[in-house]
Order: sequence, then C-alpha cells, then structure tokens
Amino acid sequence: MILDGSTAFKNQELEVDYCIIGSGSGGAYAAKLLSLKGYKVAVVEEGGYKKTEDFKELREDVAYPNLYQELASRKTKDKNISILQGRTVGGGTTVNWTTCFRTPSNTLKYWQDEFDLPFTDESLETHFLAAEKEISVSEWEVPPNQNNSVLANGLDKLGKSFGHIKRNVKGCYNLGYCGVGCATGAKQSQMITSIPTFLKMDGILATRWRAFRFRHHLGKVTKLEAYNMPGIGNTHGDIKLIIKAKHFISSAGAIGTPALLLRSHIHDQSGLLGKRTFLHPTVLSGAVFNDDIEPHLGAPQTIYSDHHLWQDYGFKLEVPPVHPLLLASTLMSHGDEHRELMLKLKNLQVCIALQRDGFKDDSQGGVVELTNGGYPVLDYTWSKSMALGFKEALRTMGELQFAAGAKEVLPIHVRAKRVSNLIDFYSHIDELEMKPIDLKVVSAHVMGGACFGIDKSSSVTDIHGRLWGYENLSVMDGSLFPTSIGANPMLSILGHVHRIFS
Amino acid sequence: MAALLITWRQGVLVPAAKIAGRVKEFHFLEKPDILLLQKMLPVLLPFQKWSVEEVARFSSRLDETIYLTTKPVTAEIRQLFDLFHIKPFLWMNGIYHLENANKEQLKSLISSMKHSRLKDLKAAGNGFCELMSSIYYADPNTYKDLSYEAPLELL
Repeated sequence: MILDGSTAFKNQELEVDYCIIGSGSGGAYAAKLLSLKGYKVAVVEEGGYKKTEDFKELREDVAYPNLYQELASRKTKDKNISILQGRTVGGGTTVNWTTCFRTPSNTLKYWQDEFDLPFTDESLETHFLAAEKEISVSEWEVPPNQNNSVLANGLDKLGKSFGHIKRNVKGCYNLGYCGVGCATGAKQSQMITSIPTFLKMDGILATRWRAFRFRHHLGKVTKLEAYNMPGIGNTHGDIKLIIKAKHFISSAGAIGTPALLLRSHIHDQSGLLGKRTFLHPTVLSGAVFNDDIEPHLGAPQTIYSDHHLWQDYGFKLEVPPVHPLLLASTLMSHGDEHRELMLKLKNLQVCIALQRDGFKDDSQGGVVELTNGGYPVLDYTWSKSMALGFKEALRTMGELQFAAGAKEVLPIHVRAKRVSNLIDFYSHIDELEMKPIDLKVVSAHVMGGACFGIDKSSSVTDIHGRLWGYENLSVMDGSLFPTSIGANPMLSILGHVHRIFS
Repeated sequence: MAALLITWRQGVLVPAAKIAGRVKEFHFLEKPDILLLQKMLPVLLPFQKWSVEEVARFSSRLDETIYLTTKPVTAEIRQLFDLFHIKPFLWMNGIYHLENANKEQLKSLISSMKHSRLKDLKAAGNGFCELMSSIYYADPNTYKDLSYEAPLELL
C-alpha cells in the first residue's frame, strides 16, 4: 500500500511490527528482509515514489528537484562542500552511478585495530555475496566510455594500477544518465529490487512524509511522528502521520539519521551522535582534449584506481558523468571563461579524487547540527593533512590527463587557470592554496554520525545497529560506519544489513 | 543629456519596472532583486541577449527553484540577494547606484567577492555565480549550443 503524504488532508495513524525511516540501500533492504519473515512493515520516505517510466525525460532540471536532497544543492554549513544525496524511493540507489565495491580489507583492518570491530573479509563474505546477488552486481563487459578510458590510459602510461568497476545493472543500455534515474529499468536500485517485494508482502510505503521525531520513554520508542510534504518542495506541512511499532529502524542516511535522533532527544552516552560524519571529500580536475570525449555518454563509472588510496593522504580515483547542469555548477569561473568551458563539454574529460576520510587523528569528520525548525546541516572542516592530499590528488589527476593526451588541464579551483604543459602545470599546482571555498570540493558519500561499536562509551549503537540503552531502536544505513569506507558505500551498507539480519 | 536620460530610462528603468510589476507573482524575488538580475545577468552570462522577456523568464525559473528549497536555504539566499542591496557594500566596490553600475564595475565586484579574504564573502560570490549558471543551464534550450544531444533521441 502506498500512503502519499503529498495529497494527505487529515492526520493518520498506523500500527505495525517494524517502522523504517528511509527507503535507500539500508531501509528498503531491511524492509524486504523483515517482510519476508512475515512482519508487518511500514517504510517512511521523504521523497516521492518515482518509477522507471517517470525517468524517460532524462533531464537534470526535472531530476534534481524531484530525486535529490535540497534540489541537489545541499552544502556543508560553511558552503564549502556540495553534497549530493538521493531523496526518493530507493534513496541514493535510485540516482547513483551503479558503482559497486565491497568494504576494502584495509578499512576492515583499521576498524579492527582502532575500534575492536570483529569484521574481516572472511566474516563478511557471505553477506557481501548475498548483497551482490540481491542487486545483481557483475563485471561490466562493455568497453569503457572515453571519459573512463582517459583515466585508464593515463594511469597505464604512468605505470600506475587501475581496475574495472563492477556494476549493479541488468540489460543496461549504456546511456550514461544514471544520475537522473534509470529510464530503462536496468539499474538494480532498491526501487527495482526490494521495494516491489516489500509491497507485495503487504508492506506500507508512506512517501512524501518527513519523519520528524520519535517519542520515547524509559529506553523504549513508542511512536514516530511524521509530517506531510505537499508538492515537490522541501517544506513540510502540518498534517501528521503517527506510526506505532514494536521496533523502529532509522535508515535516513548519515545526515538524516543523526538529525532525526537529535530532534528526538535520543540519549547517547558516547556523545558521538552526529559526530564523526565523513564525506570522502572529492576534488576535480578537468581536461580538454582534441578528440570527442562526450563525458555524458556511456556507463558513468567503469574504471577506478586505488593506486594512491592507502598512501599517507590517500585518495581513490574515478570519473564522474558530466552533464550540463552538474558541470555549470561545478566550474568556479563565470562570464566568458565559464561559457568557453561549457561549450567544450564534448571535448571535456573530468577526473575525481575521493579522499579517504576518518583514518587520521586530525581527520575527525563533521558534526550534524540542527537549525531552527529542525533542519539538519553538516558542519565539516577539512584537516591540514587532507589539504595536502587534495594538492597531491590534483597533481596526480593532471599528470595522468596530460599522459593520456590532454591539450589543457584545469584543476577546479577559483584561482586555477587552464595550463597546456606539464611544467607550467606543476608550478601552477604549487601556487594554488587548498583553502576552503577556493577549492571546489564535492561529495556523494556521507557516512558515520551514529557509529557502531563494541562499547557504549565509544559508539552510538552496538554492532547490530541497536542504539545503546534503547530496546527497540536501530540504525541501518551509512551512519553506522566509524570511518569513511574508502570506496563507494552502497554495497557496504547492504552487506551490513544482511549481516544484522543473519 | 536628455537623450542619454531617455536611453538610460529605456534601457534600465523601464524594463526593470515592467518585470517588477510582476513581482506579486513571485514567491521569493522582490523588486530590487529584479534590477540586480537585470544588471548581473549580462555580466555573468554575457553570451545571451538579455531582453526584458529573457530576464523575466530567468527570474521566473529562479524564483520557482528557490521556492522549492528548505526554509533555511531560502533564508540564506535572501541574505545573499540583500547583500547586493547594502549601499556601503556597493560603495566599497566603487558602485554608488546599482542601476548606474557598468559591466566592468560589476565584474570587479564579483571578482572581489570571489577572491576576498573573508570566507563568507567568498562563499557569497561563488554561491551567486553558481546559482545563476545553474538556473541558466537547467534550461534544456541551452543544450544545443553545448553539443549535448537531446536525451530523448537516445532512446
């Protein structure tokens, strides 16, 4: 049953076994697994229920207001980092670029050493296998598009390692518009996999309702209060949905979950709720080629490199799909200079470097805060060591772009210029200061803020995602991770949900 | 002088007044914002002829977009627009009346914001440019110039 809050006209009340907030990789998968066990489940989702047929227009201006948090313009408190997060049925899985990585062994090792977490490649193997089967993860046999080929060629010429990315698609048309919702139904998002099963099992999907707060007493949550979301905007109305349940699961993402728990005044003994929120802060390097690159066409991400990931200021290399609106809002120039690059879209190649986040003493991540009205905002300041990593990443990306035949390279920085040879490029990079706001930093991976652990003084939940001190409240999303993953997190979230229910 | 005055009135005041007459239709934009857009759009997006109708169309799209954001974001964008209406702020950049500012003065204003040592001012400069270019390129009519295939043709 679908309960659409955008057309609600009176207060409503439900009673179920499980109430899940959020329908992304964590929430939808949990809803399916619980429904299959015979429980009555309700999922509350702030976004709308858009399906494959709604994505046929393949337009950014339609997708961003409908499918992303804050119209895809969410930023950190100081406006320093742009954050892309899904807000629709299926959450990030509906709009992501279908990139699938397991949690890297080194990350698990770090979690063992620093947080005594008992996870290893071996102990998680069955869970990752199940998650991969659930969303049909497989090798991508089609040759990479030009945007990805540049990354591979450049790294190859520099003698650096790279690999091929597995994708969760079935019968993909190789269009390249994954970020505006898959128009062919090939992407095995939660909207395609878990949600239909959950609905068949008599699940209740309450869309366009903002989960506002839990009511709780003596360590037991009694109900969830949600408000209707009229229209497609971001402001909620005053019609209430009350859900009573035996158990509540927050899967609202690593900004949404801490915000909901903070709004609910959930008692957290560790003092870590909303803290240590990580982003994989990502810097970008553009390059102009003589040949057509057409960076908007073809599977968006098929090549990656972890060559630099485990060095001191480690970063993972990938490429993004480049569509007009995304490019226009990313370039830091204006006027003729901005236009000139926009007109070169066809010949533009872009590399991104995702910084490993949360693995050093000075990398403590950000803090989720609430503004008036209870809206969340992430206060995130990057560390000195991260700034060194940004510079190294920009240098590395420019090097590989020149090695692959770039005519010009442009680090995305307010003071950067296009340079046409490596010598000028090196001196230009040396000159650029990695200051907040000057350097363009983006993120599509939010993690942490309600980390799991083995001890209530140093974690928000136990290793099963249950909040310490609460008998019926759990977290199942990227908030659980005590550091960033060091890779795109979708599969890690699914794997842990499977582990929790096993 | 009289001719100049007429040109000036025709070029700036009259069209601005025409759009400003529609302000009641806007959720967010206020009268002074229209003048700001009319002055700034030819500086930030100089390749487009900014006729009264074009500015009106742009203003409408901008207004609708801002209307969809959260209350805190709307409040921040209001502050951003209001910044350009603070006279001492404009004076510091050599602009005594926004309606009389020429393109070079406005270019220099935007550059000084983007390169300011003050983080908030830098963020304001970047944010304003980002907002303007996002609204412009959100319009599919701009795709053709970019050699960005009409997506429907792919299916």
